[in-house]
Amino acid sequence: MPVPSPRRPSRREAIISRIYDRFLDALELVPGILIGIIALVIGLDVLLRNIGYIGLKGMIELIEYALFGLTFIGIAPAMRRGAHVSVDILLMKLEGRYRRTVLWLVRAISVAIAAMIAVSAWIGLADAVASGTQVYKNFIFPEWILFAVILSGTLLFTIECLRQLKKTPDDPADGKPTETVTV
Amino acid sequence: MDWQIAFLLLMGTVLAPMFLGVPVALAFFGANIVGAVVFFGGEAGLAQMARNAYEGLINFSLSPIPMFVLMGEIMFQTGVAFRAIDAIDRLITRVPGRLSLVAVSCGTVFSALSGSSMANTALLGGTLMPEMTRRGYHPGMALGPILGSGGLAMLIPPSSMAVLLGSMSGISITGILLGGILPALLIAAFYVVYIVLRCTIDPSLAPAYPTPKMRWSERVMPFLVYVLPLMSLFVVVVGSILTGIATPTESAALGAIGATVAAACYRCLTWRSLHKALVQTGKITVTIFFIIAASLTFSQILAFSGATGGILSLLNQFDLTPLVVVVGMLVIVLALGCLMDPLSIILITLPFFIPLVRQVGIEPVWFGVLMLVALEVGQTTPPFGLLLFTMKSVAPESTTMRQVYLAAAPFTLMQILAIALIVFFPALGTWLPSLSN
Repeated sequence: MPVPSPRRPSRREAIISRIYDRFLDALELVPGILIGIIALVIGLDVLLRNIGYIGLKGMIELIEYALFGLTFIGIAPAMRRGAHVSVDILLMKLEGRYRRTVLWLVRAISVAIAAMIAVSAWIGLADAVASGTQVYKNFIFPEWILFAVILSGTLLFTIECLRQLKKTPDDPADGKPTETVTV
Repeated sequence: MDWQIAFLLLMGTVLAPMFLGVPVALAFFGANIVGAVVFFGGEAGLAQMARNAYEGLINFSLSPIPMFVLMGEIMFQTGVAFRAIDAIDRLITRVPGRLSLVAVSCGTVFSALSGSSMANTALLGGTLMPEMTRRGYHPGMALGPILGSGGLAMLIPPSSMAVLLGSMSGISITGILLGGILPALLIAAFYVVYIVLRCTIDPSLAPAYPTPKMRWSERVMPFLVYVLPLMSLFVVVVGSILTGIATPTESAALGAIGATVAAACYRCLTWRSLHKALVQTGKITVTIFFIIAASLTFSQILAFSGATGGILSLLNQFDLTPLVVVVGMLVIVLALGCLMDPLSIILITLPFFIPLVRQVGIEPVWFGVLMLVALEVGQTTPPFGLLLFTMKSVAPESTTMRQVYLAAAPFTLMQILAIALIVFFPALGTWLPSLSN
């Protein structure tokens, strides 16, 4: 499969790319900060309960929404760092032209799937707005807000996948096995 | 559509892109998209996939995962863990295979402070390997103990993988967390016996060398100062769950706060290290949770397409005993472990395994513990065990992949021996959880 040859970015593109990178730098901090806050809030709740006060009202629900939110806030910055878990069996075995072709294919598939997730979030959002669905727990709010979070996160994620696809496949530092994360 | 074709279609759409190198989360979402279109009726199915993505994540039982990751990251990024290695190193003297035993001891201690086996292996490898190489240790006695004990982090609380397995399977998280402790200690004991025996029989594997002369207090004090207080974090996490003072989530948060306070007490906590720990924790959490976001739809589609039911009814025809079923499932996990990361294995197998466990009447916590140990084994089995590559990346440049494979082999066998013991003596995995009841 022919791999499209890269084009040098114009000055304007470079500036936009830099601003976008700073934006992702900021987003990258959010999941960690939220996790730190969750730890403190749970600690405070345990303390309050053990000294005779009632726990923090609605805490569990807020933490649940934070877990959901931080995931979709963080997926694009994690993609930029190549942190998403992947199985590199084939890529590790390949070299040269074959490796670049497979890498390009992998990135093209990633763009397509990411875009489809964004589309599905859009369909869900449109449905939720049309039907006026509400989420009923301790907090009551329109369901479309949840879909909007997924949509925003996956749109940024799709952009990041596109940027990776556009990256020059000839760059020797590019296309190394991604940083594999395990727990 | 026949369940066989549905099964092949869904598995094919997950596995083909996954082995091509597409991120695991996207491979699952890709299969979900195909499944939503084919089985859930197009647009409505896609909307349901997005709905499932948030329903899967709005789940409080997932919150210990980032807390446990944060706990380990604080230990590593602040450098507290390195001081602990030095303290344990001073304590162990005049034994065959001294540095190998230091690796096993440190690996076990760090497993009680961090939920990441990769971080554990990288830390031990980066710190101990240069010294082992300098002292002329045989690769099998240098790489093997680090590989083996690095993986213990998956079994000993705070284990993020135990929480994940529990929250995705519906098995008691407390049960799996506590159930992993005895098997981990058993495996560590196997390692110690093996190292001492082999180095006694063949001292050239780990040449003895004079350790610096120190007063008794110089040997013991660092342990009392840098290791014992850290172990209190483990006591906080496990003790609060065992006594019922706190849930796993609360104990995880207390562990993360405790780790931060401990680092501050050692004057190791800086804004820079805290920033790095938080960012790294966020990154790891996001990658795990993004995969989880895809998992609910995947298991729903498998069930809706008839694939899950088809597999179950097929197995029913053979009238299998629970023991055969458990062994069969473990063999599948071990085989997949040669090719995949633990998270992907959990996601692919649980939709089939859990209904099977319920149907055959297998004790869920026992099964959870066995699965956890099998997943640990998978990290060190060739050709693609994750820890093998982690080890290669921190080992001296002259280390070959073949040496890493060979070094891991005896330690992998000891883990498999532990699995066999847990199969035949289930109390090894279920006794501690039974105390919490």
